[in-house]
Amino acid sequence: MILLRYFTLFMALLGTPLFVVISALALLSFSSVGIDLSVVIIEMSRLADTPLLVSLPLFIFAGTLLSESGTPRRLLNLSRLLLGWMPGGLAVVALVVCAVFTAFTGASGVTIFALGGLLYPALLKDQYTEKFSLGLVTTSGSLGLLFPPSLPLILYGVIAEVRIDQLFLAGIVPGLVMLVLLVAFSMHKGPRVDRQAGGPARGEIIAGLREAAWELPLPVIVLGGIYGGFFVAGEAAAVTALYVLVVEVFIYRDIAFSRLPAIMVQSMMFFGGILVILAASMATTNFLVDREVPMRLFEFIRHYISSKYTFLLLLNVFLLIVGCMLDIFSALVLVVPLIVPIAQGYGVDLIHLGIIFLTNLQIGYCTPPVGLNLFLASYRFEKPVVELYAATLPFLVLQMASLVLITYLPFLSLFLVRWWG
Amino acid sequence: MNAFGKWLAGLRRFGQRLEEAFLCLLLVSMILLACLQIVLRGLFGGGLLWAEPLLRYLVLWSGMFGAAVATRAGRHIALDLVSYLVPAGMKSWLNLLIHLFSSLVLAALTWAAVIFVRNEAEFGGTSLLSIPAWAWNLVFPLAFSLMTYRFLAAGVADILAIAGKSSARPS
Amino acid sequence: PPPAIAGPTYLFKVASLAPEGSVWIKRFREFAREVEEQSGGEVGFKIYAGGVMGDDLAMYRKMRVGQLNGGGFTMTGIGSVVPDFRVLGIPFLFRSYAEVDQARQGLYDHFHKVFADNGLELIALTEVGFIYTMSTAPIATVAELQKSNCWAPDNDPLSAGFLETLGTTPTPLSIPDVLTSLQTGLVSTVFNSLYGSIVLQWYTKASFITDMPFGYAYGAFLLDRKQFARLPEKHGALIKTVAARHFDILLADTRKSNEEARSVLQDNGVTLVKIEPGALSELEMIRDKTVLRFKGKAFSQEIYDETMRLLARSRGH
Ligand code: NA
Ligand code: NA
Repeated sequence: MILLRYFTLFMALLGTPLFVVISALALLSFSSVGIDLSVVIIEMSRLADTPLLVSLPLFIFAGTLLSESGTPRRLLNLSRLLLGWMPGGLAVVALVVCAVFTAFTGASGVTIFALGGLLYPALLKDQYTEKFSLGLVTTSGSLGLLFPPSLPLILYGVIAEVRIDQLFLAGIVPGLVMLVLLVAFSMHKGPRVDRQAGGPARGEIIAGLREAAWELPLPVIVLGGIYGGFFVAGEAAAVTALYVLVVEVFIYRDIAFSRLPAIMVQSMMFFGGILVILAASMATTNFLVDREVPMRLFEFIRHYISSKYTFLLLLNVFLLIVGCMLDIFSALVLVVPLIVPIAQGYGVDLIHLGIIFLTNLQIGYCTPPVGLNLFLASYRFEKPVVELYAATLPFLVLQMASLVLITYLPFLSLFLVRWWG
Repeated sequence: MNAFGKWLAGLRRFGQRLEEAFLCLLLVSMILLACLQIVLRGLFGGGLLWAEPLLRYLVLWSGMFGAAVATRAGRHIALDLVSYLVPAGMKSWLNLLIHLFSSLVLAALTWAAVIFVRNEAEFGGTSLLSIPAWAWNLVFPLAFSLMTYRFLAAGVADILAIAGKSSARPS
Repeated sequence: PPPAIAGPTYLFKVASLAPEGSVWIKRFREFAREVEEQSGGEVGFKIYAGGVMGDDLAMYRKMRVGQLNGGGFTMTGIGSVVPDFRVLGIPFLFRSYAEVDQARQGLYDHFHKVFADNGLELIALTEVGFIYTMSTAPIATVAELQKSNCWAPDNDPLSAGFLETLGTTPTPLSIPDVLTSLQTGLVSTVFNSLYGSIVLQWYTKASFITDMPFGYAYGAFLLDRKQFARLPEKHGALIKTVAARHFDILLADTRKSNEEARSVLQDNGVTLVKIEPGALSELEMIRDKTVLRFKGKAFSQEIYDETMRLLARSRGH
């Protein structure tokens, strides 16, 4: 039985779908203690009792539509008009646009492909160094994970069973902290060339605003709808999906009606990939719960670590390692159920824990040797991965700095939540 | 034989279209049902009591069948580190191993799902919309058996690829 | 690490939605310890608190396949399996805990039988307590309740059916969404026990509590009947006698915590609203109409008649 489990892990390394590996482990574990295998499905069926899950497929669909449409170009155009004239303006544009875009589309690499392709040549043309531009675009690919309504934020809420509307509020300030640090650095590193004095003409700005007029209300719809008492977090996703569908297909006509089915299937396929991992890991987690492993793990750790802050430090190191090995969805699904009871034992607020988790996993995207963004950027811009390691390094240092701030200053995550109630 | 093969391929294509249409239907129903709830609440101060649980089942069904499509497209989340390192000649063998292993696991999941649904039929009673609980949970055996079939089919394709290559090579 | 000791001969794995540290789990651990001690370590319990094994339905499914051997169930959860158990949850049925106790005692044997028919051994009845109408504005009349935006409690056909009969369209929301929705005005009226409204912080928004029980929430501690039958007779009897004592204490504890909650709520600016005279009989009429809709479906005619007979007796009719 133990041999079979090692074989399963070996199969994981060879590239077997993760949900297959996790399911195999669950089946082997339950059968090794003589528990009926249908328990695996009983656990999976609990997904139908998870009200928060509804927002996941709908936001995925909205995000896929947005990335297939002309939104990236319009958003970029408008931001350039508004911010591009400042010193380091284009870099600031890149960071802000990528953050907003990632919040809506999830961090599935879409940002690097959809926006990076437009931003990288523009940065080079504006005489940013190649190294800086590469680092910036690669890092931006996962920026914005902390802003509502990012998918990983929702998934954390689903797994840890905390309120998603609170997570939405909690991510805003930490996300801004990270953004501000990166913006300051980029303005400092921007090329010292004389741009034409003053900003763009007023008419240009109005034209840009008019062009993106239908996309600008999106963040307001999500947050305003929830906090204005029009709908709950799960329904916000449906409204967003319907709104984006109408805007992109019928108003901008970026997406032909005939392409809709393919985009729908594609987004459900992506959602299905996440759902089966979630389902499988519910089964393995249940096995661990059955054997009382989380409780014992906590007692074991408690034996060696008494301080909450030491625990958080070790948690960060652990999550950084996890973050550069696993994709964000698998990492969340596998690690959150184990860590939540332990963190509760140390008195860590679960909302704060969620922000720490996502910050870590976001950094993991750019951490050598295997951060996903590094590979995506290497593929997209045809640069060797090693070159990207060097290019992202300064950005990585800044992200680590904001991680320290976010971890040890819980009020950054919590004060909006408390202030709201 | 050739005509039969064509007919089989046509049948498979039809099945895939049906599956994709089903997924689109599920997604559109989710969007409309959730939006309808908001409208009803705005107009009448309340919504349909069965909409919420129905929505959750729609999510489950769309996700499971979405995963079945991901299986067909070979688009599941995996650690694909080794595939960068393995020489091209080994690739088909590696895939064969992965696909056979996966179909075994999925067959076990299907078996577990059948037991689960059978238990539900016996003890589960009716749940949402007077439809018995087992019917709502039918998604598990259906989707898992579809995935089992697809991993097996991928394995067969690997074998054909390996055979094709070795027969093309002069011995 | 402690030396490895042989586990109990008869191990019951028991789950509950009640959180670790709550009155229910604390008392259950006391009960388990005493049974273990008095059986010389032969009977043991493993407790999974806080819903880690899933909700009532998942717990029941796991009992069927033997992963679990028992559970602390809530009425709304196990009611879908054993409908008759719902009967005490009919809105505006009881006016005092004295009436409740009469009915609980009188129906115990019937409950024991219907659980046994479903493979479950009833060990004890548990209680959450009276459920009150809690709102962002005072509700003293039927018209005020009709006008408010009511929340429809999860899995509770009787309460939802009552609100529909009343002429409102209740809004179904899952528990995590309730607090935000109270805040944003999506719903204005919710239903909970006094203790529960503190635990879930609902009182911070719904600060007007109508001082007349809307309904009664309760549960049952059940063991797998086959597993229970396998026990030597003395151990089976032991579990029952120890349970009788501890679950009586639990009942007193639960009521005390609800009573304490009442004063905590008042200290925190919650207003207890007196119901207008005449409103209660109006509500009871609506209840009777609701019962007509659900009798024979959500619970049997037989259990309903028996409950009404017990109620009439305790009211001295
Ligand atoms: Na990663
Ligand atoms: Na209980």
